[in-house]
Amino acid sequence: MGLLLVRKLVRASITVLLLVTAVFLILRASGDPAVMMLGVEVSPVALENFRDRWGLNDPVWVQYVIYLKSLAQGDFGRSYIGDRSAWDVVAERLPATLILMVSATVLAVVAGVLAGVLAALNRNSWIDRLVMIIAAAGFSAPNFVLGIFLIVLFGAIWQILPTTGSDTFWHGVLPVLTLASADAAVFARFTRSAVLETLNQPLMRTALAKGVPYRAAVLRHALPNSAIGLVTVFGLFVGRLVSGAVVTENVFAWPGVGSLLVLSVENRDFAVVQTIVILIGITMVCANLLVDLSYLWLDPRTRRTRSRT
Amino acid sequence: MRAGFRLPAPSVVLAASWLFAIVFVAILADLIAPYDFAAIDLRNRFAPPVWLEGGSWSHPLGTDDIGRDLLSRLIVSIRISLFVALLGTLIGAVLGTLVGFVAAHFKGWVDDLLMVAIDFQAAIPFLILALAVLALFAETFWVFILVMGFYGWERYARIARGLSLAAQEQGYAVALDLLGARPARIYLRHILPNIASALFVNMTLNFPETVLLETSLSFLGLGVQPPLSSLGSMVGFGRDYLLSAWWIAVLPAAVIFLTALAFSILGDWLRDKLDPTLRESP
Repeated sequence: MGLLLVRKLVRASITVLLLVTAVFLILRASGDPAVMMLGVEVSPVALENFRDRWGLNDPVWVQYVIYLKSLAQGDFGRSYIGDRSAWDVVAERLPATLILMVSATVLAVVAGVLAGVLAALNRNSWIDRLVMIIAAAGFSAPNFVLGIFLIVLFGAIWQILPTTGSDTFWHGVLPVLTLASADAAVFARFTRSAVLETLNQPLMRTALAKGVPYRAAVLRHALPNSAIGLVTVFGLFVGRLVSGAVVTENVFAWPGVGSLLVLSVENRDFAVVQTIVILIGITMVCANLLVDLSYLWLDPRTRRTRSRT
Repeated sequence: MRAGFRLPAPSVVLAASWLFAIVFVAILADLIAPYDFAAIDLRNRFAPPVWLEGGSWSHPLGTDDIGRDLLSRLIVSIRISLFVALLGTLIGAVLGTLVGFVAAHFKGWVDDLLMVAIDFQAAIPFLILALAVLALFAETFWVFILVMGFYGWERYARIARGLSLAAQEQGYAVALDLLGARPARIYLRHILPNIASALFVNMTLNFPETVLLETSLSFLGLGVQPPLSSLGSMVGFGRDYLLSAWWIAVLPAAVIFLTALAFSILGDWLRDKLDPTLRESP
């Protein structure tokens, strides 16, 4: 168990190191940072001064070590817009994004799992069909398409909800709905098939045979066993949530990290782009680590078989 | 259950017809577009589609903010979106398969290194990496297609690597090796045809995802750039007029939605057909 944990942690650290290295290489491969930051119209002396100051005349590996060192110290460089620390620029956007992502996650999990269980227990009824049709539609609509449809319906035609910004609770309704829908659909589809599968397993027959009421058998025996597969879906879910948030924030002008990322890409504000990409990478690695660990917790079998290999 | 041919569900037929229509439109775009997609007509700005009040048959789907015919733009955008996704899928398939072959052939540290890269790519959302790369390079059409090409390479690489490792043990590969065939010949002429079906299935899964990635990036203004137009960039430009001329954004958005829905209906149907273990007993 302990060894397994160490191996997972080492793997996670390698992924983060790779990401940081990739960002470094892409930044260096794409041209002369001095020219990029200052433009071509400045004097050669100014360019030379800039290179000296940022150590751009050193060999690449020295630059790499310096780069790693400053990242380790939490120095992500400076945004050239307003000359502020890139980390500060990103950090002030974080709360808005976290609110959006956490609300969407809660909504997606609750709505998706409930709909899935409901569909499975009422298999082949109209409830099942309705849930599956909505799920297919929700799964297919990309975030920005759904967002546009919602804006037209609620903002333009019925005019009952605000569509840009994040001033009040009501501003959050459409973005959260947009971000949650695709994942709610995935959870619903997955939960339905997982529950159907567990309902047919011997454990259900055993539970019913020993006199457990059907409701309790579903709640206490079938659903926990379906949850194991759900964790796998959750691992993929975080990745979709992050990409989805970038698009959704842009549709609704939600002042979060996603809007900032697209804005910084347009402005070529590399320090900010780099900070956000590394931040997302670390988030993803942590999420995958958590998924791996929750397997061990949920499914006692993996503890034995995995530590043996 | 009686064996024999059964008609697929109406939804499957509709989905297939829609996709055929889309491909047909993409191929014949030049012939069926009523106007030049870039032709500006400032006297006819914001004309609504024909079924709304004030619409006319001269512009069946209306016009945009500078009077360009939306039907023509939609047709050309369908062509460009499908073209980008097709080319991106092909690049990804070739690239990923080659990586898989190299990993399977050299094994050892080359394999380890490539596997680390594969895991890395699988761990980071592609949209984010694509944004980072697009931030640094000029926004030209071919750079964008190359970025699309990198989408999903790790899945082809995994499949190609796994199946090649299995194929290496089989008689035909061993025999060719003993006969002195060069590795490139063994992999491309003999192993590739044997594993092609799995790679092709992955391509059909990858293609709709690439369409969605392209439209998302173009919607954000970082994909296909004007004067070219894609379904995503049409929605992106149209969103400035959502409250006054909603059709500019909603029509291309609807095409994207229906296409994605058709792909997913057809995909589910094919999966049920091809994998009898998934078929639910009635």
